Amino acid sequence: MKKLNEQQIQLISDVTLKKTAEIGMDHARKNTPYIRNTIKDLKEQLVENEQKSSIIISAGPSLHRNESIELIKNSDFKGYIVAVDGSLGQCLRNGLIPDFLVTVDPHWLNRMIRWFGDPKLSERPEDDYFQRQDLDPELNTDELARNEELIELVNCYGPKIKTIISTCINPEITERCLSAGMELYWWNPLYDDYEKEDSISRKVFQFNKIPCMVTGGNVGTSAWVFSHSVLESKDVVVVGMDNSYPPGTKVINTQYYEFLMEVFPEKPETGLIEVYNPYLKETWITDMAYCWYNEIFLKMAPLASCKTYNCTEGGILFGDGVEFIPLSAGLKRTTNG
Amino acid sequence: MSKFLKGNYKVKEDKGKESSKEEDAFSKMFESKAMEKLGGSIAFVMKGDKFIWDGDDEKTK
Repeated sequence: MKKLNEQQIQLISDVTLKKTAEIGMDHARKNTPYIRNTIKDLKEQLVENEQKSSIIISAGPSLHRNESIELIKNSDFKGYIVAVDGSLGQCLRNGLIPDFLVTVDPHWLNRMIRWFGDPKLSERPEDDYFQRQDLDPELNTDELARNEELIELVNCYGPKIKTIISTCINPEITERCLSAGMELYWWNPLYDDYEKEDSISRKVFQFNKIPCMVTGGNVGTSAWVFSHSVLESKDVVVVGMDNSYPPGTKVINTQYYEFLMEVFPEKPETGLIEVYNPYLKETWITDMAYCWYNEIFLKMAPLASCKTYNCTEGGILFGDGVEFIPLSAGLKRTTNG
Repeated sequence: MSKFLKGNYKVKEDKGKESSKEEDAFSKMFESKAMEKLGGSIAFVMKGDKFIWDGDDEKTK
């Protein structure tokens, strides 16, 4: 399959809005009693601090394959560590405590709670989502035991972590974060054009008065937006942001396998997209959703007030406004924080 | 006159038309299935180069 055209990119944007707006609004209402501080309060608290660089720790397969966390932990980096929910377990197991944790996905099945250690895992319906994919390999075997370990880790380090929590998040995650002692800073996702009649973004803002932040469609890009817009980092390093699957990944191990089976029942791999990475001299595999994330990031990067270094050492995120360099080089450029 | 207009060569098959038909069919299927199953984690929109909207125009509304 070819890369997405503009029409298909717009279609995915429209579908995503349709799927997330209603549930996001519902969660925002349910989360209202928990709201104390917002990203605006955080920004005011940080005004006095010196400007620091940020490292975004996203949860793509390169994160564990390249042992990026180990390298960051052993470096002299003094800036902010901003993890996404999906990488929290990997960070904590490897002894890296993030300063900030970003979470945004309002998924109706509430799969995201697994990243925090799910106290109700044994009561949930069967779901092979985590086992099928190459995300956090620790969750691939003995799920219940790994989950218990994660609950303990998150409870232990939670009080040291500031969670940048979207109002659209399932309230079960809110309660999980609070039970782990995390400090919460709220934001609304910018759903649509706030100048349009019946804008959802404006409706949400009008009832909770919380700033709306551009998401980029997923949590990794939201963390990048947070780093340069709220933390005001001028240098932002990203790791684990593959937006794709490593060469040789089987279609069954991709996130949208079920969708591809429906569109191409005979040959689901037809729906995958091959992208050559000239820096790695490798061809990586992506799908429509990850391709959408990638295109969005590349549209936003030149508009951001930061330099972006993609130190994933894998994947397909390169282009204008994104410098694709090894993590060791990225750390050298930002060591002073 | 008709003898002069008689075709003396074979018209090549228009593969472009066929592949564009295939693409159209795929686009339609993609759209209908995408409406059911596809989508990102969260909605995305961007206005100009603004990354945060804090209701700054609310007071004037």
